[in-house]
Amino acid sequence: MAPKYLLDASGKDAAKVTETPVQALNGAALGPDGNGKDGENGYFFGCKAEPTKGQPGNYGTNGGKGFPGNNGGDCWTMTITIDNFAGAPFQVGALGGKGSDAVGGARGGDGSDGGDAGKNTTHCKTAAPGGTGGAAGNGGDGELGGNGGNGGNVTVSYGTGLATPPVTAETRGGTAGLNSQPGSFGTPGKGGLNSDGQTYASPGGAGVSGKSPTDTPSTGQTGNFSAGSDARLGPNGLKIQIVTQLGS
Amino acid sequence: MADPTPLDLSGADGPDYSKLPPPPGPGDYDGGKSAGEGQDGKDDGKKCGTHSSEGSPGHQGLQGNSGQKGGTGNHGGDFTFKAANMTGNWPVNTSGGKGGGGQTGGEGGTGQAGGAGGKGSKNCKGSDGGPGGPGGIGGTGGDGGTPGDGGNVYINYTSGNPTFNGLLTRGGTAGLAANGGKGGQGGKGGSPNGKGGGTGKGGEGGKASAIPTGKTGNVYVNGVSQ
Repeated sequence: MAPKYLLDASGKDAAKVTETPVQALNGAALGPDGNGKDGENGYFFGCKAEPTKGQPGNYGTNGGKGFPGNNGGDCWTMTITIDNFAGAPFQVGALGGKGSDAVGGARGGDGSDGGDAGKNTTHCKTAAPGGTGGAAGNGGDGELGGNGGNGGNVTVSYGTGLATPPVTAETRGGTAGLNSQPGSFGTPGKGGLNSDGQTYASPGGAGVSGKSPTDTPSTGQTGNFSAGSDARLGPNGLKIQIVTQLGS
Repeated sequence: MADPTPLDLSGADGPDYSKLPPPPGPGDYDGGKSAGEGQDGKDDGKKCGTHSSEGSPGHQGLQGNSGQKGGTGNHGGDFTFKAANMTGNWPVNTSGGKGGGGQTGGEGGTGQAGGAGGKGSKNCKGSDGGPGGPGGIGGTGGDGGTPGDGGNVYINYTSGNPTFNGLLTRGGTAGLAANGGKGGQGGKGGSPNGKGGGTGKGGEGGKASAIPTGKTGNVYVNGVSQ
């Protein structure tokens, strides 16, 4: 496939971000060991052992923050001089590269459920609490998209023997990548069953979502184009100057 | 000689967030825990000594996250031509870039559940649960992005008969401001009989750009504004 531009000084598009944020860990489930022991009545009367409390659930970890997008490349700077141009008009690429999108923050981990307290019995009535649920993890923050690269200022000088400048150009700055979404919060663990067998301990603390970036990435500056005949060149001479546009 | 190929000096569009889903919810208020329980009633002999009390009302849910604001469109580049002779058609495009659209605000958080009512005793009545907290206000919508201005065109020639069909120097258009997020769901009423909280108010919409359209670039031919 023929290239779009006979002369291409455009900056490269930014590489896609391939990193992934640190994934949160869910709180490990307690299993049967997290439950308390049931009360134990005395052999003849009274209570031999009161019920014991449930263990608290494990917390979910926070999700990692996202990764920023990469910046697009600026147009290259170069000068080309041709002593005797002959041929069809052609187009110069002096574009800025596109910025890449940022990667979003990870979701927070889920807290695990608290353990159940041991049950009360007819003689063992001291209340034992279930374990509180594990706290939820927070979501990771979103990140900034990559900036677009700057286009180039193109200046074309041509000899008086050429009717028109044989060169045109595209000088658009690169588009910026998108900011990424923050990660959402995890789910708190449920509280364990209290020793009364009817009520529950408190669930784990809430997680919050990550924050969105407050800035926005910049699009690249578009370059200018100027053309004019120049008697200092030979009749069919051609000079193309491309300089990265840095002004606003 | 053939006409020159198109000259594209247009400004880049600002990042557009209008097609993205809203940001995630902010999280539950206090982890789904209910508001404080009411005090239980206590007998004083054969009569009620301390009456039970209602459960506490739930707290309002957290406000939703704000949407991203649209990016700024860039200005078009300038076109300058200076030569003795100018021929052919010049479809120059120096249009400004469009502002990006904002992102819809995130949904508000769920209101906290109302606290359980105090329990009754032999001689004291039990009380109702507290009302659920109202849902959180939706997040503010993202602002619309500012458009870019069109670039200027300066042409100076002494002979020839150039044409400019397809000459574009208009400014870009502003991005659309996004709607605010939905209000959060109301919290559950406390047991017994507590009323559920109302749905939160929707978030405010994003602000439209103060510049609805970028400036059109000026065109000067031999020093005369066109």
